[in-house]
Amino acid sequence: MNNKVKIIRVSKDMQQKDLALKVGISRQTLSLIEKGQYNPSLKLCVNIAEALDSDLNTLFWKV
Amino acid sequence: MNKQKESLYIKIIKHVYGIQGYFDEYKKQEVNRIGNNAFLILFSLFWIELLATSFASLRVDSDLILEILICSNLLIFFVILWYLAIAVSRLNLDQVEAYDDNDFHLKLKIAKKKAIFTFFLDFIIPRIFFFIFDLLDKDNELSIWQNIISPKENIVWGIGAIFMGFTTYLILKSRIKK
Amino acid sequence: MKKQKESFYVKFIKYLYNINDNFDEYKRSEVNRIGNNAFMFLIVYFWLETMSFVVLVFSSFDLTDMLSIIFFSNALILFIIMSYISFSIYKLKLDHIDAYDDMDYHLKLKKLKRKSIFMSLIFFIIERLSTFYLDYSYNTDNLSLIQLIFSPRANINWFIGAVSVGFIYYFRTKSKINK
Repeated sequence: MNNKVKIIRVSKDMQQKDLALKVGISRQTLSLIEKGQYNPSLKLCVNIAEALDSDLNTLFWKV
Repeated sequence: MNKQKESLYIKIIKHVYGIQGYFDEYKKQEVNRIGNNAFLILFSLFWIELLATSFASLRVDSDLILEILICSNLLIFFVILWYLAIAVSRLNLDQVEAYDDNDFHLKLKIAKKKAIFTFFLDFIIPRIFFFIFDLLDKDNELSIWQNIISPKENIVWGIGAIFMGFTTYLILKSRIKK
Repeated sequence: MKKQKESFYVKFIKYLYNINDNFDEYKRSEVNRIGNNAFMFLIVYFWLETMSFVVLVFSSFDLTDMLSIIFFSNALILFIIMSYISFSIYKLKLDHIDAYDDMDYHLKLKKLKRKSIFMSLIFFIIERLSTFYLDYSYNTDNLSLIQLIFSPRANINWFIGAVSVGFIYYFRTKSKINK
């Protein structure tokens, strides 16, 4: 499922490894989420949104 | 983020599947999928083996059935381990991420400690196994003490263990991704 | 929503875990978790069994006794695993079926009746084949092949058994259909 995680992350000048560490997942998992190859659980989506100081709609809704 | 202390269950899973680093929800999901597939194969073969053994024992010698059982069990065991290794490797679940140079050297240090632990494990377990084997072997005329300090056995397994420890270190090092 | 044709893999999982309704994402993740737990238990037992074979074969144990021990311990382990799977599925209610209205309920009951009859038939065939093989191996009364196949006692016994299995399956699964 496509999303805007990478776009928002890059706009915040954050590296993948930093976001992965902040959220508590591996870089590999974050990479798969950004490519749309893995659908994270709602809990993980909320954690990513919090880490990027954003919300679920902006990141995941109808991309 | 605080790293939570891993439960014994997660440690066992990481050890069985050769997974290192964060055991996050993606890895957990993939491990569960791989494990379930392996279970389906193993369970089916187990059933077939049980039924075949019970029916074959009515007509065939016990020696032959036992020999076939041992060979088929070993084969099934290695096929399952091979499937696990291939599946984990294909999904890169066994990779370790190093965030910077310090982290990389820290992880190398951990890899060295694991390799030394592997060396001891690969020396002690086969020695105990073959020690019991020699004790039960009717043709073996050595005493218990002679079996324990046997130079040939200790040197052979020592060399094997060093080789395994060194190989483990190289494999673990190759999985650390900067 | 169109119902996709299920792959053999999904059908096999549904059969093994006794899942009757849609195999959705939640059921899949729970089944994978249960299967992985069962696998960890089984692989450890399998490894221990194989190692002990190798040691015991070279010892002075009687091979027939060893075979009996192996047979019974394998049967026990399979029983433990099947109990664990059944209990987990029961606890999570993964074997429940949802009926959306009266028409759907009656349709599901009809499918269940067909499935129960099919199961009875399979049970009868498998058990008859097994007992036929056992009778043929231990043929102490020296009966002919035809007499063994058409034995009224064996056929009636297993027919009653198959009908019982069919009924039990039908009523057990019917109780799991949620209106």
